Amino acid sequence: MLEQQIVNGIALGSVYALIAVGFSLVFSILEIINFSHGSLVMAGVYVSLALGLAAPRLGFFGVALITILIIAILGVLVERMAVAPLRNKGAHRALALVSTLGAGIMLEALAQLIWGGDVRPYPLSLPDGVLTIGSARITYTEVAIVSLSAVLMISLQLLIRYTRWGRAIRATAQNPTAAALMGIDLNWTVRRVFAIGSGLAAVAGMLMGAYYNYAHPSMGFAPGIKGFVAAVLGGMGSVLGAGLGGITLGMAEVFGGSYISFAYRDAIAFAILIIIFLVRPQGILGTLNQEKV
Amino acid sequence: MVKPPDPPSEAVGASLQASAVSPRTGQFRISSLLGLTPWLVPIAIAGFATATTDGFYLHLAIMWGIYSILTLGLNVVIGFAGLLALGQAAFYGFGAYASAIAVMQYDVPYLGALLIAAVVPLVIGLLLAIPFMRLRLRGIYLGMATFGFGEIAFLIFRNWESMTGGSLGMRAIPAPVIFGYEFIDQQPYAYLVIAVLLIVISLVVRLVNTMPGQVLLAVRDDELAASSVGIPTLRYQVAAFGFGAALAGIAGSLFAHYITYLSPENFTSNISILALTMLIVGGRGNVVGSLVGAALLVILPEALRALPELRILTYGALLMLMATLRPQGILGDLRWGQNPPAWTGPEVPRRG
Repeated sequence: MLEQQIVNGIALGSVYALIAVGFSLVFSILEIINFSHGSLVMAGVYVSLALGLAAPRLGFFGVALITILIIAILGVLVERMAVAPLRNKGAHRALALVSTLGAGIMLEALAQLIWGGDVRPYPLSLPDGVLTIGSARITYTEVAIVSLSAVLMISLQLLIRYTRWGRAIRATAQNPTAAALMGIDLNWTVRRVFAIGSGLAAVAGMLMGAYYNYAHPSMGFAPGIKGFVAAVLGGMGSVLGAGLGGITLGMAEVFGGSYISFAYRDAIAFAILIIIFLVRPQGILGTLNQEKV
Repeated sequence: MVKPPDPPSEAVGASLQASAVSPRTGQFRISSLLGLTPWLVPIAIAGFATATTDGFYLHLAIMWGIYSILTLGLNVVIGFAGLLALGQAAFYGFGAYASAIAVMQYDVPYLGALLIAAVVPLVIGLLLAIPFMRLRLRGIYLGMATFGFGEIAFLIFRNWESMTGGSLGMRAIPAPVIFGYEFIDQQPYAYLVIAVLLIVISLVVRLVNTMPGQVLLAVRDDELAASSVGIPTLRYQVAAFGFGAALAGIAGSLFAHYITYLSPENFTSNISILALTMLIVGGRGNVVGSLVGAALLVILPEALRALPELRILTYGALLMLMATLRPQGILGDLRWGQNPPAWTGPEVPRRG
């Protein structure tokens, strides 16, 4: 029972972590929250669903690659439409929360227009099979979720540490003005960050689809918010923090749901959010203040 | 990075003049009659409610009044105090349930229940705002924290079955009875809502035009400068948050006794977002703006009735386009706190 819950918590947490990275990266350079991030997760579910139905011979990974690309472009589009105008105007940052919220609602409504508001079965699945470790049953899907998330997060961390793109992102996060003076194109950096975050959101969406076996226009909303909580929990602006925050939140939800109250399971994330804000706003790893100020 | 504080803006006093007599010179001017618009709009709607007997239009008028009160409350918090609150549905719900429970389980007369519907959210709002404000949660941090609170409140409404009836909700909430008169028909109910709205407008306009409101605007425009001249900024912000919560509760009570059936689904984040859309579209920091925003978003779904899917799409588009193209809304003013306009400075919550 205990082992099973740990497994479930890690699987859930890995998905949160993938979503959290998107929030975290965007926040680290623009200090805004992209409220449409959850809708991008949902868009990932539906785009892969449509692709999976239209071209089943592509297989999971073929569909995944195209979906990631499409959602990355969609994410950049959101930035262009909802964030860039505010950036150019120098409007209050909090307005970006409002405009991206609008963009997210639009995405959800579009999905509903195109694919209908009903729950639909998700056509793609990962290999079947179950591992048994002690008393815990781990499906291959769960193994895939955890390992894929881990690989992606580690690659992202390497990308940010060791490549030119990564250096540009870090420089912009530290000081956008100085970075721009050093010849870093701020707009392109912002676009790349949105593309990376949205691509990971698409992966999270597909993993959710494969795990739960269904798609619904509002299925991205709660995970989106929880991804944000995970990012805050781990420490905004850090990939490692997003991973840590995601796993912690996943565990807290699974254990809180079974030992405290199942009815209030969804409240756990928000309670954590408020407590973290009050007690340690910089998150577990505290990266917010390290690079800034 | 500490910016030198800007001088307190002299435009603060001019941001809202709602008196036909200039407060400075005491002179009467025709142009300043415009200041009466906040009251003229509801009176016009009341006139419309008298002229029509069509239940559909009366329903729209009533919902407009209720949403106007809700949006005005949000306007006090976001528009006047500059505090981004995204969980207003919670206070709307607390007011609605408190009022219905008071009348149905404790036989409180309606005016008492209306008072309870204002006091319960007020107390909860103050209890919430004190730690938030003390720890300097601002901007997006406050937005997300209040959003989280809204979600928690929704789960309370859904799970506290002995009080709220859980997901089955509360049924057969009686119509308000005031001095022996039962407001059961739509037309009198519209008058009741508009009467409450007029009182709320008077309170809000009075707040803005008197010292506490002006101080609040100064705090919004530059918290640092305001506190440096000795203003207890936290107290003003907490009070504004509580006032906004109380107005949301009043709106909730009027809603509960009109719809007569309460379900937790009435108080999801969707209603917070709807109120926010009304405020942003109408214009932050503008009383008439809230009335106009509420009117637009009450009429819009009906105009798009043939295309229900487009309705949500239109909400989203309105929110996004308003925020990016005309952030001040149809009628509002642009200011929103002391945040530096450049997108480079840190906006990190500081430990108070």
